[in-house]
Amino acid sequence: MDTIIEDDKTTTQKSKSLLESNEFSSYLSKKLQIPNSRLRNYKQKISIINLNIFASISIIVLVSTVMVMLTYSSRIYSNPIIISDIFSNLKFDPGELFDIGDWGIWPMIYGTFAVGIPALLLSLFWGMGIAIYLSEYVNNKWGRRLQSLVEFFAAMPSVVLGLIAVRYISDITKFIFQRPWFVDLTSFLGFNEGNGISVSSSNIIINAAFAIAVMATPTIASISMDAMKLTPSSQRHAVKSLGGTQKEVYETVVYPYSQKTIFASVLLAFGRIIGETMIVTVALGANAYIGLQMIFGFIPFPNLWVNGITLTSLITTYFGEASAQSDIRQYLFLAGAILLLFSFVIIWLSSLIIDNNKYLMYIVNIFYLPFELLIKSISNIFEKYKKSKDYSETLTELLIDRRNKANRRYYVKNFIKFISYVIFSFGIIFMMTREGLNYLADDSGLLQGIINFFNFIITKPVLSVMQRGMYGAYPSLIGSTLLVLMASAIAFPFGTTTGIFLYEFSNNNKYSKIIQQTIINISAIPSIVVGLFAYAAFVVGAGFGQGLLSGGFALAIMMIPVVTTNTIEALRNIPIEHRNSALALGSTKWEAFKNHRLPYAFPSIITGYILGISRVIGETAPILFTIASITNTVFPDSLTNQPLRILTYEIFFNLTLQTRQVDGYRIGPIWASVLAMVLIFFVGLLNIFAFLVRKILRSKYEYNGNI
Amino acid sequence: MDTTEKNNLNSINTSADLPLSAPADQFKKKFDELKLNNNLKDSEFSFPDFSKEDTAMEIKKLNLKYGDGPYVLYDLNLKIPKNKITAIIGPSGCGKSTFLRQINRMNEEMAKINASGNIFIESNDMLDPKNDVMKLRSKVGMIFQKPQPFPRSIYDNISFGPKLHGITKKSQLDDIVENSLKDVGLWDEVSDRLDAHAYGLSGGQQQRLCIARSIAVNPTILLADEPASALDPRSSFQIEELLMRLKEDYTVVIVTHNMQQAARISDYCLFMYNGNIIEFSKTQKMFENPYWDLTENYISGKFG
Repeated sequence: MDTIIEDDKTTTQKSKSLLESNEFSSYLSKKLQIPNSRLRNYKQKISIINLNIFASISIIVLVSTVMVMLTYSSRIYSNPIIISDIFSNLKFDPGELFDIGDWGIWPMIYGTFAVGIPALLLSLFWGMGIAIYLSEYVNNKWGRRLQSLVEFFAAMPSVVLGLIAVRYISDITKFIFQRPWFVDLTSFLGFNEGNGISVSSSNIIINAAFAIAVMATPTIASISMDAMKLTPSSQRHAVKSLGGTQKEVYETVVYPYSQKTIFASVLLAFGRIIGETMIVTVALGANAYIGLQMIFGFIPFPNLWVNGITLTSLITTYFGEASAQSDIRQYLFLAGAILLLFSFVIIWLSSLIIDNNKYLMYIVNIFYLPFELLIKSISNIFEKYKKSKDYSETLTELLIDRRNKANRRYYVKNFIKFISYVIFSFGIIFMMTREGLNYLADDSGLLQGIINFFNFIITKPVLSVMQRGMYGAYPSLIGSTLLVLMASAIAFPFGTTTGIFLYEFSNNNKYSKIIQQTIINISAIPSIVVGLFAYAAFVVGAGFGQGLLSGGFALAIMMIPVVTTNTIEALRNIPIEHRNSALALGSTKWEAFKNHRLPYAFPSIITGYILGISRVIGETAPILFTIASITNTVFPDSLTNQPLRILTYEIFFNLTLQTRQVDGYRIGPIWASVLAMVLIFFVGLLNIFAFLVRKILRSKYEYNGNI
Repeated sequence: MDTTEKNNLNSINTSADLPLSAPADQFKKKFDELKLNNNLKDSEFSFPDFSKEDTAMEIKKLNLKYGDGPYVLYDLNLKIPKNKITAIIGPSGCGKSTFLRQINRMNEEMAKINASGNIFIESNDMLDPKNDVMKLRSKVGMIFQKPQPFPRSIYDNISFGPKLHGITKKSQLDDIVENSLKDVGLWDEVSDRLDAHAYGLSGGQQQRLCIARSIAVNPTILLADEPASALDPRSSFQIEELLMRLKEDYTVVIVTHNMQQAARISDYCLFMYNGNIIEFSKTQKMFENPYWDLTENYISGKFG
């Protein structure tokens, strides 16, 4: 004790003498007269005004999208035939010249939900299983790895999934549907060949629904999982310490804690499903037909084994065929407006339902009743073979036994959901890769196939399209890269500044709430509507024509919400205490943000950028009318009026071609598979790149244990 | 003073119309009524007064609400002595941390507040919206409950403040870093590894680093919000020693839940209850012979 006090005395003397003698306080106090404090305040004001301006541009984007859709579709009122038909006719058949025929919108609305609802139920089945399995049962580093594996499928380009649906999922469904027991079952229920069931067709609703579910599952899974993991561990421990099983922990603590987010994620996924374009365009055909069937002769049930058409595939199918001034163009804009309305209604519903969703989960669970019963009967068989312990027949022990069994069943159930998703989604990718590589290898082994694959990526194709074919991915890779760079140059500044404004400088007033809602609404706009808007506003309206500028703007609209939410998320994860310490030292808010929030959040923001890129690089619908074309141009010399070859569009184009032989190469759908492999390869690379960048950038501020 | 003569302020709490967590203004009213009814002389419980040279800060009619809620602080009037340690004690939720944070206006960074009144430091009113809050804050350092070093090197942590206020010369910054670290007695421990990450320090060292960071901008007042409560006894003792040493150059205001700590280190002690100051006197008097029943009950651990 004495030594300490002595030590202290000496240091005090030292510091005191220093304080008196040196300029320490003098230059500080001089500097603190600060003429520069006015400058610093001024800087802060300018920065915040800038943020305000950038943030409010998002409102302009949303309002103008809605305005364009409304004005274009309102022109349809000059055509009396369409107007009289639109909501009163159950058929859609515009005729060869789009002048006479049936113009009812109902087949499209029916098709949208006939695909959407099975897809939603399927993705809910998979998504909740994955979320519960990974957050409750493997909550460790393997769980995190498996989560990023599942999330990879969220970035799966939709056109690739369409291709998979029509070429590979259809193989599986055909295999099942041609079994005798299935034919018996369907005929017992009242479906039959004469009523439009077509087990031999590839373009049926159920295939598209499976592909869409593969895409929508990671949305539900990852958002719900994050919410579940946020449940305070003290609450989990409380249930565990009372003797609860993991199932009971989930039911009593985790689900009530996270149910709002779970429902939000389900509705978000439903919005995505409704707006999904390329999968249905490729996998459904365009047969406008209401396939409602009466099972047992009186229960209406959607027939999932028939062709169909949705609002989105209507637009992609007919847009190219119609001339700019024809009525069908306006009709397509009307379909776009209805689609926009659906998505906004879903988003608004989500905020309403979330507060009052007590019984919704039970209603949804009815659909899964057969599965639950199956699991229960299987587990009962297993329990029979296992020799049960000899419990003395007290009630508690019986109950414990029963509860443990229930917990085991619950584990198995969710594991099956998880593993079936992983097997299914990797299986279809595997089928595609195998076919593509086999084709590239040309009977000389897998290794040769892989070598040919990389050759294919860098090969410049013979450019004269119609005569010689389009093998080689190099021009479309260049086109995709340029387009994404263009979109990023527009979206990154807007998205980031909007996020910073919303989270750091908005004070939660009315204005910031409007912007927040705007960002949510923009993220809900279906991609095909973005395409229509960009066509109307940039290609035609601003006169940019098809080219980098129009395409870049279209993709940027898709990107801004991703970047904004990622920025907000990144800032939220940085402890606020650093900012408070900086403020207490006399920083302005802007300086505290610039020095002690932005640098720490920066790695996550960059990762958000790369994930945003990997999301839009697979987009097809927005670029369909704004940039994509099969041209001979590789490097454009102008930003406007210069269509380019884009990877996703090339896949789509090849899928629509008849297979034919050119220079010893077969082009057509098989090329689509090979191009899809290229696309997946690059999306995967981007994801790995994002992971590495975050790791490297973070290390700067991370304490690594060395002193 | 005999205990029987003590004034039973506890009766306020038991009365049905005034719950324990009553709004500060209602409590004040009851308190004043009680004084009036019992014909207590103001001189017996009036707060200590200091001459102008001895006053570090003067607080006048400080009221505070969160948003449109009830008053959290109501009608605070006091002077805080210069180069002394003033400890603020009181039960949880009585407003002591809010009061402390209001001194350098950190409240408005954390929540939406409504404050009125004046806090004069060297004839500058802290609460005057015309005054530049950054400039004022550089005169009032703050130490938080948990040590919060920036995730950077030790050197960067301390030089951040001076850099902010316009000192850019490396030699000057080196001086300031060295002096600040010497002031908190950390220099000998870290002088050879100033570029090391601040998270490599122990909890107590981190807290002393935060104190060094605060005094690097040369404040006159140091506010400490339970600075030792998250530390082990040994580190906590070091922080106490340090604060006692620092009071020669700075005025220290400390919020604490630890009665022994308040008794050990403070010169003056301030007991708050329901957003009001019940008693403010020399620490020795407060702990040996408190005026109010309520104060004695709190100090002896009967509630709170």
